[in-house]
Amino acid sequence: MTQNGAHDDNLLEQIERLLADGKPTGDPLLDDLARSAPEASPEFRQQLENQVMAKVSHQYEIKRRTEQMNTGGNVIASQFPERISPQKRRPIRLPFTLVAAALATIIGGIVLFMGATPPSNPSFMALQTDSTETPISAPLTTIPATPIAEILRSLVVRSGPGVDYPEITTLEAPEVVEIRGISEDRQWYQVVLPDGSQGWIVTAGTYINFIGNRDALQVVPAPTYAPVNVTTMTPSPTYVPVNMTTTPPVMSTATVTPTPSPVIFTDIPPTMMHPSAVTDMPTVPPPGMQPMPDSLSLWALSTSITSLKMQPVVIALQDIPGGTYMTADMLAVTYWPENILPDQSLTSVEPMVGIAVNEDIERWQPVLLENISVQTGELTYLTELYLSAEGKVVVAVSLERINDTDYAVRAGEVVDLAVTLMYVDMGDGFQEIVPNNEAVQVNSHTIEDVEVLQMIENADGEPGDTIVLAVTAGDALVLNWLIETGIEITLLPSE
Amino acid sequence: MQKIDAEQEKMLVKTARHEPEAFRELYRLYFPRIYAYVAGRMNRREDAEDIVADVFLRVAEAFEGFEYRGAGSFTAWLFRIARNHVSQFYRRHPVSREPYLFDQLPEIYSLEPSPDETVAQQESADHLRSLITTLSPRRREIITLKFYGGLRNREIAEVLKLDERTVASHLCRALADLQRKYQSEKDTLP
Repeated sequence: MTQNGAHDDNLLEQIERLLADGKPTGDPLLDDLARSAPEASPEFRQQLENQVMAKVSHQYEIKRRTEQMNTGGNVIASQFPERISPQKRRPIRLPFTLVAAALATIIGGIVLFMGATPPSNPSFMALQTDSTETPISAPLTTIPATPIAEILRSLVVRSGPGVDYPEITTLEAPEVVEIRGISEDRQWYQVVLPDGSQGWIVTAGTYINFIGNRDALQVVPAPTYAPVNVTTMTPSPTYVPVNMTTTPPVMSTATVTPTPSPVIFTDIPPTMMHPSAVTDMPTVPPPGMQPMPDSLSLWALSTSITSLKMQPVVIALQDIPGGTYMTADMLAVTYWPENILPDQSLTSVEPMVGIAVNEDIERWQPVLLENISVQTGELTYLTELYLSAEGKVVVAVSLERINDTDYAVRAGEVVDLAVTLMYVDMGDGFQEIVPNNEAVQVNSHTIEDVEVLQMIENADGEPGDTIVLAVTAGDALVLNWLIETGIEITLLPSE
Repeated sequence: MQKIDAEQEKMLVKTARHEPEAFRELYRLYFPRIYAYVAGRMNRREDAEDIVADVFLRVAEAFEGFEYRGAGSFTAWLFRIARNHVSQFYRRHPVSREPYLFDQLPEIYSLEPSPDETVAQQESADHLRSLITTLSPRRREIITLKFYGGLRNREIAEVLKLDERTVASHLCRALADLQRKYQSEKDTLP
């Protein structure tokens, strides 16, 4: 049907027609292939649809609320709820509903007054439909006298206005709590918990929906608890807030001043690192206090004043000698201020695993694209290579190590790596070649079914000197051994 | 296989940014294709369902961040997410790389009225899917994306970061391989 690299245009057209209109081609294989596509059970399809749409509704709701918080701060709703999932339609939403009703009445009045026809914008139509879904039965009212916070996502409650205060409990969406006051730095609300006790939550709009008049909130002094952990976060020009999982959009802090001058990262103190990344970090939490916790708390720690745009960067958790194949425990993602981020820094640990570094990398130093063996100029490219390897190890091999072959290798091909070597038996005692013992030639397809991920090109676009292969972890060891021992490798098309 | 053209896709994606019902339409449009692709690459129906659920929930989450770049399409973006989830599955469960077992293949919920026909079609589909597993990983992937995912060659090239001609070449070679195996097994039947 095809020759190396060629393809059958007629066949391709036939397939496109078959897949486009479903008409059988007469070719049993093609027709059967098209018919053999697995189908889901209708129950699963419907169940997932419900699940997905609930999530989508929630996403829209969060987006809308975030926009609302960004535009007004206070409760005045700029638009109606677009679509509210069933579990969101709860009595606790009453204040919000009342304001939406007020706005609906006003806008409705304006539309009627102007004699205008409703716009045909689908989203507007959806809003109209939704307004019937949201029960609006209360009369026009004003902002509630006592401000409240509607919890949008899981949120830690602390005994004081700071991440160094012990955790009391966690609030889950869509809980609503009454707000009693605000911290001096206006970053924490003092709230009344469902059990009647008091606690502090962050004011971030990502986590809560504030309903009420923020300006009227009373400033509440912090409890007289002397936090210990905060002393370890000594302000330093090289402060590197660390977050292992979540990307905070902006990290900012009241105590840290970014330095515009170049920063040398060799002396990043361990106290600036995430506790889980620094085993020898001498942290002594006070009784009842949790150690430096999750990303949320770190994010919450960063209160306002100066905003620093933080970007993820992969750093070495230990000295990594050149030639070492990196493993996940050698690396971590931390966040550095954008303005001092080194060029070619990497943002994710995963693609680095299994790749060798071509020079020594010191502990705490960022791992740069130029430090790794596969140099392509683009991190995304490398990530793609890794992902396309499907759980295998990506190995870059110099073509100098590959024996001449007539087989023109291209990306996507599957090859075998064959070796030819002679061996002789050695005497047990002196490790000498046993006299009269002839050498035996061994030809072996040592590593089979290796996928060629890429032939690295030179800058001029010509085939370069490196081939990138996806091999199993075991085969990677064998391949490394072959390379280190200088045994010649031959590429052959896979059988 | 219900498909829309590039312009319709763009319009629908645009509307879905602010209209949940349009997102529902996207889901209904792509669910059968994503399911067929994922199930075609998995050994067990339960795993396929888990992955498809993860894919769509992830898409719901990341949809706001999706933007058209260059010739990139929403379809390719979606399938790339699906493919990454499948890859992640195999990274976590390397043992699952066993040959397909017939009784573990994803079922076909056929709408065919005749039970005999359904059984025959099921058997034929099982057989074909087992033949697909004998292909090299790259070709297996291309065949699955093509016939189960219903992607155009350009879209497959985008998902796999390959040249479109390479995709066409792999596709033809894979079909030639399958044709040979398919024919020889048919010939040996009594």
